[in-house]
Amino acid sequence: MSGNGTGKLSIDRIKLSLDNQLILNDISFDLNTNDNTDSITIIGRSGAGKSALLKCILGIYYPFSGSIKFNNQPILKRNKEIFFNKLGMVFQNSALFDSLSVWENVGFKYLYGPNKMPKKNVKKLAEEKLERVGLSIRSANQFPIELSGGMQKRAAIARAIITEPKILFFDEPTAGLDPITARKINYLIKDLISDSKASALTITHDINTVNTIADRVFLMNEGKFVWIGCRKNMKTSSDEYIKDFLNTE
Amino acid sequence: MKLLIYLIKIIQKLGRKAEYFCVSIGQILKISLVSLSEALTPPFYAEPFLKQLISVGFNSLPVVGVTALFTGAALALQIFSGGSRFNAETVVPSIVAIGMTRELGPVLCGLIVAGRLSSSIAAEIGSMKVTEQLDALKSLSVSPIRYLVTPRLASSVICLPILTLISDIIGILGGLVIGITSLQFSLLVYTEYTIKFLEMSDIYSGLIKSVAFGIIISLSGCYFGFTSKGGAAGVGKSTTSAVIAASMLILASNYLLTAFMFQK
Repeated sequence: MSGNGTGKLSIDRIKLSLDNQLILNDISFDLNTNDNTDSITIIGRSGAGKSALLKCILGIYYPFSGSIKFNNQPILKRNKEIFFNKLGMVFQNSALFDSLSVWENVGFKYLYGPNKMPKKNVKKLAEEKLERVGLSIRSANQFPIELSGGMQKRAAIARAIITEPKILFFDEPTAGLDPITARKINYLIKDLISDSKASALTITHDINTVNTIADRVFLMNEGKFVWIGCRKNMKTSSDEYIKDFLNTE
Repeated sequence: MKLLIYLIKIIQKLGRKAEYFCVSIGQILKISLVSLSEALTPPFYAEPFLKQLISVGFNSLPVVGVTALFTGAALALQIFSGGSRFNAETVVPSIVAIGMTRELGPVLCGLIVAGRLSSSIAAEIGSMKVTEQLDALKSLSVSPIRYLVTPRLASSVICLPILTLISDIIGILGGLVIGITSLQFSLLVYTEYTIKFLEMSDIYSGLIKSVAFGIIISLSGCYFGFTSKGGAAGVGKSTTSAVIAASMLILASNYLLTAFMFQK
């Protein structure tokens, strides 16, 4: 599964333990991050280890064995900077900063990150991105608490795409949204991935998200991938885990 | 046999507590050192720092001022009442001044600001942690310590001595008002006695203490915020723990600093 080479995020046999419990067990996969867009969706029940995997890649959790490499180099120091410059992440509950306005949230990376820009330019850019994700300029000066769940999600997506990243991570992008808003968010993500030619890694348990944006699907159970395949093969698969997941959904 | 199992359980519990204590000390030291190193190297975040200066300094002024005013006034009454037992009523101005500058000014100011600030820092960072905002900071290439801890630490270290100085002045004024209105001192005599016996070292010692209290208050809030777990209830616990830890450490460090500076 894992391989070497550039333009790749390579996860190789990682194992993670939290509070003496094995959360991830021997997880390996590659995400192509060059011009050929690659959209992986990791599905599974709550507590399967999906979000923990994402946090390992972000360097929030440290696996006790295995490696996570970007462009064939561990994600450390200079390579970490390069990786994070190419990354945009949307968190499960949007994770917008309460004390900042919506435009400051969207432009945060340019206001406080390593590639700072003048405030005026950041605001203009943030407003452009807000329009791109379907939010009005009026919402730019509001605070996150004043937005609905769907609008917060859109603002979080705008924050993730402000640097036009080549890698996008989505953690449960439709969690807590009504079906109509969830559908709109799914199509928005699909458009963004194809427009920006970015690769995406999406964590979800929403089958509609899988059907809309996934190229490859990894089913996770108890910290392991138990099924890997194309989205199209899911419905015809005789795998018990996949059947179980599709029936539950 | 049962006794042996019981003893082993007690030793295990003690071991776990000791481990938790050592880990906590290590984490506080780590936060302090990283924060200090990031405070001295760019990028510097001016806006969060200015916001904290207002929050720590300006917004604490009313409560610190009122506390100092009434403490100074009460102190004057107590010293007058106690001093009159051995005909030493004239020591009221000097004892109020020395008491406020050396002890009550810095300690009360520290405790009041700890109640306001440690809790608010722990609650803010704790809720950021449980809503993944700290993870979001990392994903945006911004160090949570540089963005959250350094401005709070720097503003506390700057504001606490200023607040203490203001507290000293207001406390002495509180004593003066009571001295003139209730204790038959004239303005001239009270002022003369205050200035005559007050030394600069009294003021400096209080200000040195307040710097230490500023560090304790901000780091305590940040540490308990960063180690919050388990949603709103966890944030509530962290908030309480931050205030208790900061208050205890202020009182303990006050004794140690007093012993260090004044014991001959």
